[in-house]
Amino acid sequence: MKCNCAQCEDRMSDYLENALPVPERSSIELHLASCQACTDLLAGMSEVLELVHSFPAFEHPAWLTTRILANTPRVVRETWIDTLAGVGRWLIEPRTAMGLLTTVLMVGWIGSLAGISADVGSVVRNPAAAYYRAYDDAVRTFYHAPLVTEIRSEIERLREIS
Amino acid sequence: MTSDSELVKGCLAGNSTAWESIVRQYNSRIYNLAYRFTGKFDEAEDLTQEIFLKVYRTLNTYRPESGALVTWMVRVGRNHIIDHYRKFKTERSQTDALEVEYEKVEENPSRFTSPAEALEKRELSERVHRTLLRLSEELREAVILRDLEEFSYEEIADMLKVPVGTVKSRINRGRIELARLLRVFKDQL
Repeated sequence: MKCNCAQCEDRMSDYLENALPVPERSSIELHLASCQACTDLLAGMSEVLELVHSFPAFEHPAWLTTRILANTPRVVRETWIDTLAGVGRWLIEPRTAMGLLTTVLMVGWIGSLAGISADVGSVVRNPAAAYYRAYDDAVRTFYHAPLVTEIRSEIERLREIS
Repeated sequence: MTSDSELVKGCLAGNSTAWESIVRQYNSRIYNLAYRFTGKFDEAEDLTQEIFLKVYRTLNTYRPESGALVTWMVRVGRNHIIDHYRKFKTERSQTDALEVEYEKVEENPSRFTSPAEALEKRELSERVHRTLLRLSEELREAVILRDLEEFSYEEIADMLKVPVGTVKSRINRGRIELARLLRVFKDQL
């Protein structure tokens, strides 16, 4: 079946690239035989393809590679020393140092309030025993705190009422 | 020869020789891509450098399983050129720029091997570029990627993030436009 000009135009690239099935190719050839405008357009398109395919590839200037490499940020592999140095730099930052010191003092103060002794010698000798002792002390302190006792007795009272 | 993925791995691991290999291997390709889009040597040189720096910064996003390194680099390059083109679109007249540029080519025959070759290439470039740069952005990039860079329809569809059918249609329309513009150009001679 013969196609019209619009259908012919739509398939021109496929026609030139031999990408059309035989019936469609035949219908385009049938149309081209009777349409001078489409034949001229196809010839022009064929010339365009020839021109663009023979388009010269330009050689880039020799200095361009050097300039690109010179302007690329230096690639430096990070080693464990760099990582350690990074942590060290972070630790000696005034804000970090102040924060760490405050945390240590707060933990010590809360520990002393809870009655946990800071016997450094025994901690070093037996860290596991020191940990369990501190844990027991903390639990005991919690359950004996007046506020906790009051809340617990209130909960018991409400449970009895209900 | 080192494969693309090995080069990328080496580069990401901090091997500057791997990066140098990538630059040397694809410099010409990117330079020509930039020149074909802009039609100006100076601009192509600057764009090539900018594209390589962009590639360097985003190299960790390249996935070898999604395609060849050159396809990925052309995609990065194309996006950069389009951004650049949009930014400076209003500041220039394409025809004037081209005329100046072709004069520069004539004045600088060192880019070619002989004067006769220079003249032949100049005429060819001029004719193709004059018409190519008159196409709309979407038709031009489709024609450049297919007919000058010789990528497959599937690769172009992947680069432009449009269906293959749209790519085919843009290329066909671009070629038709080029054929018509070339005829007008010939009639004016």
